[in-house]
Amino acid sequence: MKNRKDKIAEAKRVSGADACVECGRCVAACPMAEMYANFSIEMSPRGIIKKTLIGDPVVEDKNIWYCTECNAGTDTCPQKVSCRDLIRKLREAAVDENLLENAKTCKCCGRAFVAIPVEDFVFARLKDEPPNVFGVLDICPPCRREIYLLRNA
Amino acid sequence: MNPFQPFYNMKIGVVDLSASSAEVIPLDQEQVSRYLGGAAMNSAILEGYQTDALVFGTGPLTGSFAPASSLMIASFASPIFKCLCHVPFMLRTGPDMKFSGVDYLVVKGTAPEQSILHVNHGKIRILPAGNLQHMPVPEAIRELKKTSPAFQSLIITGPAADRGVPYASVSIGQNGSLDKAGLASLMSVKNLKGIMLGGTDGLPFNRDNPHQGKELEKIISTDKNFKHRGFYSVLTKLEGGKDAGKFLKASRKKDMACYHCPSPCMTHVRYSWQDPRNKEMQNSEDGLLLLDHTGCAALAKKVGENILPVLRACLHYGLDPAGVAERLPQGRTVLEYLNAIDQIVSDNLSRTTDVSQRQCLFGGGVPPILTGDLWEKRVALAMVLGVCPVFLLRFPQITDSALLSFISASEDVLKTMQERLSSAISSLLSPL
Amino acid sequence: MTEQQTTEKPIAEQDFSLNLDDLRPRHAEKRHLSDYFMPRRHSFILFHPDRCTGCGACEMICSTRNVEKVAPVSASVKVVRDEKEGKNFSILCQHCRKPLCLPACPTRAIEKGDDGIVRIDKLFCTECGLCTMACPAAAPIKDPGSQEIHKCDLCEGDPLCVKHCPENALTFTRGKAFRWIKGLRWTSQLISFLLLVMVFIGTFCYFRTGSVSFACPTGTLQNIASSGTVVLVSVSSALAILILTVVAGRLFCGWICPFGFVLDLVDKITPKKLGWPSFLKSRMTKYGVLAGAVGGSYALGFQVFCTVCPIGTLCRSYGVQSFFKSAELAIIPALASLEIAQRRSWCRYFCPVGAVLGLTALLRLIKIVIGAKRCKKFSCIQCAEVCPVGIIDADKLREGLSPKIPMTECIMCMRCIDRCPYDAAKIRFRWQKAVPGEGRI
Repeated sequence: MKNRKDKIAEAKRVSGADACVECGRCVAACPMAEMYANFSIEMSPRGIIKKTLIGDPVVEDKNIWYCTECNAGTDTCPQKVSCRDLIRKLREAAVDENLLENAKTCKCCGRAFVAIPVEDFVFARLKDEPPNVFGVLDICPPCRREIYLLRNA
Repeated sequence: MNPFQPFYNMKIGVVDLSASSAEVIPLDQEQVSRYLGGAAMNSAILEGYQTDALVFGTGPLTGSFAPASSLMIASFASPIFKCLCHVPFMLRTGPDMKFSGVDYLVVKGTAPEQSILHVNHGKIRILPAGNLQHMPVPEAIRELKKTSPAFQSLIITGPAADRGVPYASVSIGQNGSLDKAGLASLMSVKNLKGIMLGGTDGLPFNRDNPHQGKELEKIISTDKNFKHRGFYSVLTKLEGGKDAGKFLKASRKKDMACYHCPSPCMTHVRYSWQDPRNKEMQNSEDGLLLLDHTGCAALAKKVGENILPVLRACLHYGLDPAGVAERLPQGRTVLEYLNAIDQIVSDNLSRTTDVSQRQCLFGGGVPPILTGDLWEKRVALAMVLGVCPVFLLRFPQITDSALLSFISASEDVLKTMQERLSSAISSLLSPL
Repeated sequence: MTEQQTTEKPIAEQDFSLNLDDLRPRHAEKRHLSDYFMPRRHSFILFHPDRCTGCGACEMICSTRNVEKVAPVSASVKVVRDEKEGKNFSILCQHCRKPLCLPACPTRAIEKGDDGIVRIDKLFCTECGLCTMACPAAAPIKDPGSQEIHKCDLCEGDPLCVKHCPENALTFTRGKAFRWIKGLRWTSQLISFLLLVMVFIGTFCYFRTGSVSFACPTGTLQNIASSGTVVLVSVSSALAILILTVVAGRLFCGWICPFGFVLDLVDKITPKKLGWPSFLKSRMTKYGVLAGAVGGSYALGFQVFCTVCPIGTLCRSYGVQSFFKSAELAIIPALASLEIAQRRSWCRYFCPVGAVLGLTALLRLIKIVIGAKRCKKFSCIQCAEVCPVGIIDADKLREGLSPKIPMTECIMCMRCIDRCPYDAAKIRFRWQKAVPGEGRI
């Protein structure tokens, strides 16, 4: 079992975070700006990369759970730093340490499939829909497809 | 793009289990042009390795727009038939192997501990599989889905192979296969539990040659036998098949087809039964995919109306139903049969075989629904091109030039391919 | 000078930022005039699970359009197989009438076009996957390699999967070609109105006993209660309507009642409904009105309700002299105006004729069922929206269950059957247990 320091070092290596020049293109492309009213540098890709690089405690930080893992930041980055891979590895480290308050697990298979802030955003956008739509939304997409099969075939 | 190879990755994986190494290297273009692929290419590849090596290969049409293009061929020296065998694997194994980035996979040596291979994105990993030892096949699959990297297709040996039972058979998922040549025994000697195919990449195809799928499907659908489809349609053509069909009573049947197959020859049955060894269990419904025609025919002769639970037990342990049928007495109850199967798995018995030589060449599982040497010509054609042999046997009017046209529309290329195909087929059939 | 300085902020403090409303303004849905008469029927891909063999040809061919390779994982359709049950399903975007992916997309990349197709604009898509998270069927599929989101766009009107399915399990259709039930029903309502109101004046309503040959059941009851005698001819003609109800449910209310016809016409010109407060919305009220009418007739010795009955007023008042003529006629617009609150409010909550027919419908022979397996649930729900008496439980449908339709309330207008594009809403005999889309349960 690797300790946290090793995991963060691995995360930095896999994502290439050391190459970040803080240009902010990832922040400009990031959809989180449209999703969260409290969008700040704390949860932006640039902010998370910076925090990781200067060694601040980032695995317990709630801010790593706002990202949707869309990869738009990586696509625009001139240094090809993968903010998604970094955040994924940090989340994995958090899951390994059982810091699961911000991860939503599927009611059917038990796998963590979405971050709670992201899901709250989706629910807020769907607030005009009748409530029982949300019953299906507590389940991860693969399990949802299997339930769809059983209901329709 | 080379006109001979539109549907290939042009990669071969070489796994050395003794050295725990696996690498993916480019495929020899010249070899592919000469042998085209499939079983012929597998034989050519095997010549470069020792006799206990295994090759899993695909054909030039596997994964393509050709109908029933689902084939993966395993070529090896069979410990049962004592000759070189080519066993067909259908469902989605062939295309998924290509979608995992390799066209052929050579496995040599013996692993130091029980291992399982995972292939995806053109990379092969050897993973430990000690925890799957002696686990029944459905349980092992559940365990793999939970802990291993994701996969689309899987071939796996069962606890029977772990115990060295000669009747052991490789299973595609939990559905069994046409392996009656002892591939499972060979794999268990090598400490290889199975192969997981990730299948998340894709195959290039030649855009200048739009697929003729519709015309060929019209040929098939106007065939007067087209309505006659499903497992039973092939089963009734076998010896003892009509009786077997009588015994395969099911509450619900649904025809299932392999990858891109327009005429299903498998049937999923749901039957209700009560496990006699578990008195508290309620009458439950179980589901089973029937794909082994010869196996079911052989089993039905001995077991009669109890065939479905017995078949389920065979799949549970990874046993060949035809081989098991040799050892079972006639006219007993379900409970006695299930106990007999448990006995087979725990004892160490040798097996007798009375399979014809031409059947042996193709693993003993391809149903003999055509007579004379037409049978071996059609099966050999299928095994070289990478198309399902049962499909080509059921529709003999599909010519080899119709199939080759999926590779190229150019006259010159077709002519050359036709010649090479004939020579590949004759070299494949030369042991007969 | 000073005024200008106080009203205008310095440039550094002004807000020039653009938000999503500037970049991607949401357009209101364009309504055509024809939408009032005949709602648009868009083409859709219908999947028949009983025909599917799980061959995966649809995935294969779809992927060639998405990524120009044969790669079933990159298709916009996903074949889900259940090995234990032996079932297969091709899941693809249903182009819902009210798509859930649309509001969930943070960059407003998803739009529903005029042709009914829900499209993802790749220019704005950040591949975040929130559309998949919002879709109850998880129909948008994330490509495991390129991370793109692939969602069915009906191949812009010529779907490949439909052409390549060897079993014809995928069909491209607009649903039923001709809504013949609608035409038949309006014709029947019009003819009934003409006959009962303008030709056979006064015959329908029991009130004019002199020339009665066809009697309203409620009127018959009130007559028996008030006068204590039973006129056999009237009772037998009232029985005719009751027998019709036993066979075909409250067909009278949907196809014959002239006041129903008036209500349907008013409904056409008042599309926006204001709604009732919930304490008024009890279906039992009409049974109370019936009890009051019969009891009042008994107590007061004349047919209480018949004097104010809107159906009777219509039947009696054309041309012929009658007692409360001008005052009576005011009943009709007064009660028709209830339509502004909810469709067929009169029929749902107050009509005693409907109450009698509802009680008779307890003996019904047929029922309307909605097969949950054929129904497209959250993607459609047109039946619940079009039902004039609002008895189809949309929540049950969204959960994937067949709702129990109370035939004592159903006016058998069959709008649901007419409208359902998936052949899920059907008429069945009362004792039939099987629903459309399933075998015997």
